[in-house]
Amino acid sequence: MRRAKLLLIGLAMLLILPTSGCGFKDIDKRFFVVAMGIDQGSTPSNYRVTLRLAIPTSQMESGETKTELESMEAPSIAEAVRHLKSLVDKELDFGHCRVILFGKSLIEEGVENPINWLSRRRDIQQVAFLGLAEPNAFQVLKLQPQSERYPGNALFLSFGSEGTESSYILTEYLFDWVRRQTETGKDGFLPIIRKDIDRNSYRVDRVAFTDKKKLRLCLTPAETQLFNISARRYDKSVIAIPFKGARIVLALSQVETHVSISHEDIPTVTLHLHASGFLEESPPNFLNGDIPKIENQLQTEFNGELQDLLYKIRNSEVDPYGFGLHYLAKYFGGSKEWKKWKEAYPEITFRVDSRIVIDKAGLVQ
Amino acid sequence: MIEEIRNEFKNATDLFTNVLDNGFWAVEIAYFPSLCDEKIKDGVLVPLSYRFDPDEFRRMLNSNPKYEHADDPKEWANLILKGYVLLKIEGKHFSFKSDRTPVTQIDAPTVESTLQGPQTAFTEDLNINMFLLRLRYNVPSLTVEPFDKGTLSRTSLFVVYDHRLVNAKILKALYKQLDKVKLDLLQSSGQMVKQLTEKNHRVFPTILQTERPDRVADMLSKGKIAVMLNGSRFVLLLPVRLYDFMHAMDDEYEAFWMVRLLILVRYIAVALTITLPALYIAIVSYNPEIFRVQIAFTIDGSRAGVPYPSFIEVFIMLFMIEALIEASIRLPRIVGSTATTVGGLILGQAAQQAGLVSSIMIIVTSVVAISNFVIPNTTFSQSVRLMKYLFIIIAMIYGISGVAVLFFALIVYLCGLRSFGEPYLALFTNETKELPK
Repeated sequence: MRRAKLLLIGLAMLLILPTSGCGFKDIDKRFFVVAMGIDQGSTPSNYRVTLRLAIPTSQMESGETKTELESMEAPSIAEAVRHLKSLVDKELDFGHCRVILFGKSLIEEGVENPINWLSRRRDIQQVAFLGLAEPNAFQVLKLQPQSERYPGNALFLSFGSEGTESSYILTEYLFDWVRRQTETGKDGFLPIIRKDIDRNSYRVDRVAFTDKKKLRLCLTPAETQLFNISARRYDKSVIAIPFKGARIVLALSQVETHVSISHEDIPTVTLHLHASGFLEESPPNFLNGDIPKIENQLQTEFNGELQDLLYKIRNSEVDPYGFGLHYLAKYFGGSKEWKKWKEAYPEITFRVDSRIVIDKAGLVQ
Repeated sequence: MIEEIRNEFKNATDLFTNVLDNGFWAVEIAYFPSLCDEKIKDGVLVPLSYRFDPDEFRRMLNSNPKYEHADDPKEWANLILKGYVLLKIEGKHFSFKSDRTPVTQIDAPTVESTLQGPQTAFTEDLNINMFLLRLRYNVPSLTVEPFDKGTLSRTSLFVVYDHRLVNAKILKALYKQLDKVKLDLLQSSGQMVKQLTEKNHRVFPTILQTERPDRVADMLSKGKIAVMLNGSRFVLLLPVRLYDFMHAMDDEYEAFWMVRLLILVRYIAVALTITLPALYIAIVSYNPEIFRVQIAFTIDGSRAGVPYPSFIEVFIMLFMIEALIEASIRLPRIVGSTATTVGGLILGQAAQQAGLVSSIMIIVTSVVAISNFVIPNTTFSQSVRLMKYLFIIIAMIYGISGVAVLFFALIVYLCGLRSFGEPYLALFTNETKELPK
């Protein structure tokens, strides 16, 4: 009886052995992909996949990291990745692929297939950062910045406020972008990544807007910062105006926004913005200057710039702010309301109502 | 009488038998000199020899509590073995209690030391232990029930409890288990624990062993039962919960928030020591994306020279640390520090430089070893030590999800565990039972 029981337990143990999980592969037999680039191939139906692979060393020092760049062209991304495996000596691991770049020409054509592949693969992290590479992903990934302490970290640190916190850098995650691709009334944006002129670092200071299919608009750095403040409520940025021959620079410490949309035939979108901060630069001996007057001037200037930006975005028929979604949410919109909004969108008017407060002059007398 | 006793102890040459004749009476006497002490001189020899007075001697026989009638010949052998002197006076049989009690020093606790708590531990003498307990928990309702266990050793043990607080059901269950005890030699409390534990409950201890009188007093006041064994430093306490094993007596004596922090540290240490080697295997070999990028690359780099898969690496290091722990228990104290130095410092360093294990594995091993010793109770600490191997085996086959499922299964097992009918993983118990008026 007891022996039979033991035998049964032994058999059960044997049965669970073949059900073991997803492949035992030691960490030193894996090749970590730190960044992935997808470009358009030499023919329009082909993709060119570029992988930046980390070669780890036990001692990590700045500028001494080693990476390997592999590139392959194939009619689909899956095929390209399968083919790339034959070029390397270890198993490719996308678990640490934190940055995914799309070439500009690819974005202009549409990225439906690459997104499809990225969302299906379970080893691609949904928190990966997305970016638009200019002129193409291969060129950008080829760059090896001097400051990299471990492979690929210069790109990771640029995004997500992990390293540098710049108001010119917008962070877009894969999951967010995929959602924006399918969400009614909200469009995606991508930071544009270029090589710096000195070829020693990346330059991320512009943003691109896409509609559901392809690229529609690229902003200038100044507009990018404005978009970051108004859409992402990014508070580590500045607002600057000329004042009595010098510049007054207000460093923001808090930004709040609130959108209201009227329910008319041609809706009016009002963007309320409340920002406060301290003066980082101002004319000398300014301590007791006329603060309300400066605040007023800042507000009018800011309102004008933001309004221009909103109209510019509207005219290129994208909606990265998500006004459409807001409208539908507010007025219980069905497909009828959405149709109406879509027809009215090229005509709608924007109003910006900002309140800018100078908390501190930034100096002690 | 001498004839019969001699028959029973045929080869016991150290048995002393004689007929003492003082001219008035001829008294037969039998005892083991090694088991009896000097009391025999004042109690028997002097009144019988030069101070002899028949009337006074008879009075003494009746009034001295050390003298008792021993009319049943079947009991004689047993009495002699317990250190009694057997006498036959005027045709009647008496026993005189003269058992030797070695003078035992009460010394400091060795396995459950505290910083500022009481510095006394139980001894190997039952009477002194009872004194130590009465010193801390002296109430009229304290009940002591004597038992004898072990067919050869006939070790005496006390079941001690406060009858106002004790749960009668648990007491009954204990008696039932005590009846089942089948041992020839009962020499340590650990044997008793094994006998009292159900067969399928043997992974985690369900009976607490302690050498601290203050802990026993504390537990008695909570309605628990103590089993004290003659010849053992350790007292058994039951029923207990998992939290009692994680409880150091310092927790009662130190500052409130500090104690809370230390308790938290202890539980984290247990979780680490159980899961860390398994997590190392699971993360390194199945899911390296759980690490941050930096550490993934560092481990990747340091593992680059290691020829074996991660689980062999873990087994090498864990074997070394287990052997080291085992060696330091067996080694004499003077050589002990040498073993630690050789094992810990030199071997660890050398193993890493030789490329046998990665440097991260050295850290994992040390964390596991140190965390294991944070647990205040030795028995529980050993159970935890054993558990980690189960986790390692599962991690080898199933990776991180296996570890998670096994951890869940462990909690389920602990929830199902009972210590004498009381839930083992109960978070709350009613601590203040109402006293009958």
